[in-house]
Amino acid sequence: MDQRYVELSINGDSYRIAVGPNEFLADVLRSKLELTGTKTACDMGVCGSCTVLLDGLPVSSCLTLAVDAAGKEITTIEGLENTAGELDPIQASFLDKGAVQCGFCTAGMVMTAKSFLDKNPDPTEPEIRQALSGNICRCTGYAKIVEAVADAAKKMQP
Amino acid sequence: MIFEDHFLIEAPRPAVWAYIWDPEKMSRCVPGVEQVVAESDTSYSVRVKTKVGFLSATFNLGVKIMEAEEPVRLISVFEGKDSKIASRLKQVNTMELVDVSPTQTEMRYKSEVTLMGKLATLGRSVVKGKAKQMMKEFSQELKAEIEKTEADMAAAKEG
Amino acid sequence: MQSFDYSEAKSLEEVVQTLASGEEVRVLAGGCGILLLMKQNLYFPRALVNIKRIPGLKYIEQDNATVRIGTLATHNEVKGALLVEQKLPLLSEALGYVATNRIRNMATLCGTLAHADPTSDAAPALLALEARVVVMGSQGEREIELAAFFKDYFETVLKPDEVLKEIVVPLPPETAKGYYSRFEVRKAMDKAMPGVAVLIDLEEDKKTIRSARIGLSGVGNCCLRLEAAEQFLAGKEDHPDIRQQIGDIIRATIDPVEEYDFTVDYKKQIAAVFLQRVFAQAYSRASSYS
Repeated sequence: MDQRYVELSINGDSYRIAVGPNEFLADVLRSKLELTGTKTACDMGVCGSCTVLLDGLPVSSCLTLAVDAAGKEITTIEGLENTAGELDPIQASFLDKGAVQCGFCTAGMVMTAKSFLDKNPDPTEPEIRQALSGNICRCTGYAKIVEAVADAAKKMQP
Repeated sequence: MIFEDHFLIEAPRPAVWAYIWDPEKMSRCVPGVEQVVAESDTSYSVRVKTKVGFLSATFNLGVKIMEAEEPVRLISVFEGKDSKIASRLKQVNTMELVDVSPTQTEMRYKSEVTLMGKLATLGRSVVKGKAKQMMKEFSQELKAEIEKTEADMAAAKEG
Repeated sequence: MQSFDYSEAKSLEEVVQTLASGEEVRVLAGGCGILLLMKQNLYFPRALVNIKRIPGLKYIEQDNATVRIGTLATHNEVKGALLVEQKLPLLSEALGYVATNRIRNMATLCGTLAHADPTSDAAPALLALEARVVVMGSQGEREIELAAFFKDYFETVLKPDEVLKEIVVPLPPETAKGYYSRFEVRKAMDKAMPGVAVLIDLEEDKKTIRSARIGLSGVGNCCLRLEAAEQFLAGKEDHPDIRQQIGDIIRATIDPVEEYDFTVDYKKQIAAVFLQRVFAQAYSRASSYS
């Protein structure tokens, strides 16, 4: 297939790369741009490990064509730490609460939580569980992840 | 998946047997059949295109007569695959013919279908639902063809 | 991932031309349906025409007594639109069940209808709301009642050169209230089996049913209206006998296929249970509205 050049705006940086129209954003991020924080597991949009934000909205990057991500603001897990290299409060909470085991679901969980807390800064526990219901974790049993998100929400409140 | 059905054919039992005993004739009744090639008296290769909405699969199947107890029972096997979608199909058909009257035969059939590979993961209920539809079409086509053959023969005799 | 001819259309007219230009061309909107099937090597279109770059197709607006939803409006855009939350709350409610938030951000409502998944959540609600779709093809535009739109598994009445332009939902009377629910095990990504949407409008006495509309999914080869029960309910009041009878009607009408441990009888039984529950809730909402 013909490759074409696209401009991808990722975490505030602009990348100009050649992609085929049949390439998915998850694979382009990981293989062509070495932004391997985003994971692929089910490759079907179900597990959530590939979650990135497109214009602030969480999407499955394994089902998003790279050409469709052009012209949008893409935020990956690498974009969460600030310019001083400090972790985002959600990332810090995940570490504090022991919500990371193998780490494969973590980027997706954190990105989903980030978008969720942006819109719902003071959630109840059921609301957190509902918000994370599209992200699968095989290690933790979810309890610590929910705690971490609740903890981050509290921390981020003014 | 198991499918069972029975229906009445307006034809005497020997005529029905003659039809189903011929794998070429039987293959032609399969919905979506595109090509039928003889390998021997009792085996054929058949290419069948199945559609589920906008999805399609093309199976290359071998059709063999396994057991024949004229004019009562016939067991045939359809087996093959579609490499493109990595799916295999095996279908064992048991057909029983019952004399109802000199001009009518009841066909009872039981089909055991095993589908493996990608198509089986599409959602078993979709596969089963579609297969049920195809079985119905096959039965209707078989009945229509046998009755037509019988009617043609009767007309020829009179003519 | 497999190769295909790829083009980005600049207008719906161009989409129609591309669709008419050859065999096995498919519209690419959100892509959650077809890209997934292509990844799994179950679907091999020759060409995809991407419609997401066409401007002006995300509208969700009121037009006289209808709500018009453009072909590129996503599930979340429709679900969260004030107009829909206020005037078509049944639709907002049903859309919340669809897949997961990520998919709802990508998948278009029109795309889900064109995909014709018999376990859709959006379709039963739109069916109960008596929605229509506007379709554009080489022969021009036509409007199709949603109840006549679905044909079979993943099959609609769309011709190969036709693309969905918009969904038109007539505004129900303010007194009409609805409810959607489905049998599910997980909170996300589950399949409706069944999914039931009921819209009830009562007479002034707040007891007698003026009209009932019932949309179903996960009960057969396509989503459908349960017209027999709708006709039965007209002029009746809620009562255990009535609920019993609509349960009987759905059991007699639907033709589900057995699946894993769910036998045909089980599916019919659970369809009856959910119909009764959803009916009860919709009726309760309608009778307590003032």
